[in-house]
Amino acid sequence: MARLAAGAGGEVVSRTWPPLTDMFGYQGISSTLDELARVLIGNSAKHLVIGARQPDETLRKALAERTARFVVVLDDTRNAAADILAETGADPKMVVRAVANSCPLVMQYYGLPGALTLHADRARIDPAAAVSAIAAHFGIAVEPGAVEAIVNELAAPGAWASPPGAEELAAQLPAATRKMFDGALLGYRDLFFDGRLDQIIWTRDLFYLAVDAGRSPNEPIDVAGGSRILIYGPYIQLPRGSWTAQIVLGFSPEAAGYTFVVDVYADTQLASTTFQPDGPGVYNADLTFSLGEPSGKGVEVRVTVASEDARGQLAFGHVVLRPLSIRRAEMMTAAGNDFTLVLEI
Amino acid sequence: MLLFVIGLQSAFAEWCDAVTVELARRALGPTELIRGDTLEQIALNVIATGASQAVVSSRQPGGRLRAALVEAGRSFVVATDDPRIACAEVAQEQQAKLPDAIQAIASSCAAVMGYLSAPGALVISADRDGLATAAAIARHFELTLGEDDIAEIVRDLEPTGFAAGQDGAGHWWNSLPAAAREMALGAIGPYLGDAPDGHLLPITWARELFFLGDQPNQRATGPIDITGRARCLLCGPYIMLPPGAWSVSLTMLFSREAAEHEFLVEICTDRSLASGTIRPQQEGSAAVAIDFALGDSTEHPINIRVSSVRAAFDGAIAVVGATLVPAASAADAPPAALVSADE
Repeated sequence: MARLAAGAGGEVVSRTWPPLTDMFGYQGISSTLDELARVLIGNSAKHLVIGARQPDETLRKALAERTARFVVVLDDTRNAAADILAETGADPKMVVRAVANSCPLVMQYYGLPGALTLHADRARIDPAAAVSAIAAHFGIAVEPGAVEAIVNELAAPGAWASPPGAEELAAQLPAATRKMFDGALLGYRDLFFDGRLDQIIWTRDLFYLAVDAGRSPNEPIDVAGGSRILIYGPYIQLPRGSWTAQIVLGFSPEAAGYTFVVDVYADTQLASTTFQPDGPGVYNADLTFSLGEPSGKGVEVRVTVASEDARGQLAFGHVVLRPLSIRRAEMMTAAGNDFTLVLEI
Repeated sequence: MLLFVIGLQSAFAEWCDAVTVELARRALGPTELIRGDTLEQIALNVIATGASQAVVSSRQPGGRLRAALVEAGRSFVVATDDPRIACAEVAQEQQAKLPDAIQAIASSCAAVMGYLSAPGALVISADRDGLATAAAIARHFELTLGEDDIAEIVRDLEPTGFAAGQDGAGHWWNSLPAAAREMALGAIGPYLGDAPDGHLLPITWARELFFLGDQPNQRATGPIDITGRARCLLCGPYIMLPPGAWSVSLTMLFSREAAEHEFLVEICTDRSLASGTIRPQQEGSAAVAIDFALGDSTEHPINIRVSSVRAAFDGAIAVVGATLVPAASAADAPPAALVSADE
């Protein structure tokens, strides 16, 4: 895009927002529109290319209302994670969060009227077609040979056009890390390429121990010590809509009969359940909740021991998240007639 | 490229907008005029117009915009005027009701104040010669134009200029009833820079500047019935304040029935800043004092919310007014005035 704009004449400034360091963090990130304004204020370039990695709702509305033209780039989410991991060498947990936080925001853009959606797998096969499509979408006239020149320039070693790294990466990662990547990201890959999101799994590696936020709950936790939060995380955004969350927990024989609370939180408490394991074993806590537009720090699941005198051990498994679909009733029953009456439908 | 004209909401500021657009068009090529007080508004308007070059006109510019301009080392113009004239212009030309005009100008004063002494500011006032002002704007933005070009621009804009309206505005101001003038001066008078030590004088927001909590479009000019569930009874005045530490004293009247109740008072912008409680105890007036602070990045007006905290069968309240005083720590450095001292 930047090279095409440069071909149209005038200085071009490119900015990717937010930077990866901010995406790895837990602090609020200023909006893409604010950053766009800052870049416009800070230079005199004729063209500005903004790579929005966490494009928010206000930007989406602005683009939709004005039928503004823009490009949506979709890739295998694990490729995106592999790129970031290779570029930064960051903690895989941070990398997964960064990519997983992008997905629910990006997916709101590809149905908009001004969107040109590019799939990375197809662009890798025919990059010239992708460059030409971008030029045509923005009405940029290109000189003969310009597209080929751009493709050759970007195909340099180390550029994105190198073979996808997801499979290679998967082979190099420890099994638990691979499960973390697949669980959090494969659902979005299916959504981007097949149009369906069946489930997302947040493995225990994405969560934090309350006693030591630097560690994940990979070992059984002693629940003795009074009422308190034991486990929390992972602060990852989810697409808007209704969801079911299945939290898998294991309890030792000593923990039986004590009270535990599991809740889902995103700026405010969304759902909560209290339960007492009646014996040792694995238990599923099922919660249902609804989310609006992605905002704040993302979704948090918390496990709390509520009994002051609790004893025994708790093991954290994982969280399975599934979109909850609500279907319109097709058969009009007697009860349906009552609805018709009271709702005047 | 974006060129910024920050200004008190007035005909003079609009004249500066128009001059800057024409200067930029002649020196740089096609230039749009866009409005924007926040970074988000600016970005949205750039997307809407598709402009790569524009003059940004800001009348209630926020603190984050100021920070962005200073950080980027950008030059910008600050157009000042007498707030009384500006208030008259808004009331006359936009046919705004007086409280609406006061609300707009008081916010504009508070917002513009922070830009007067910022690096990169060229402060211009309406009392200068138009040609000299236009030439100063061109120099400040490094727009290379000949004297003839500038003179032509000023001449072309003269019919819609600001000078003619100033006499009429002065007449309008002088013809205001005393109570109306007092209400206006309470909100905008402190920005005239009349204080002997240069510090901001107390600001007073009169009853007519507030709104009913149940009907936020209706001014709270009379008694407010508190009968019914616990709810927001009063809100407003949605006027911006300069950043810093403030103390607000809100005075209200309570009927005998209302005096038995407790009322929550919240100071809000886009979020709650501070709160307090009024327990009147007896019929008549009661006040609450609340301290709060506005950060440098503030870009939202102040909303004082008064809410009942339990259901009431009877009773009425009325707002007398709110007085705002800069806290000592905020008043150490006197702010720049919007009107020069010799006026």
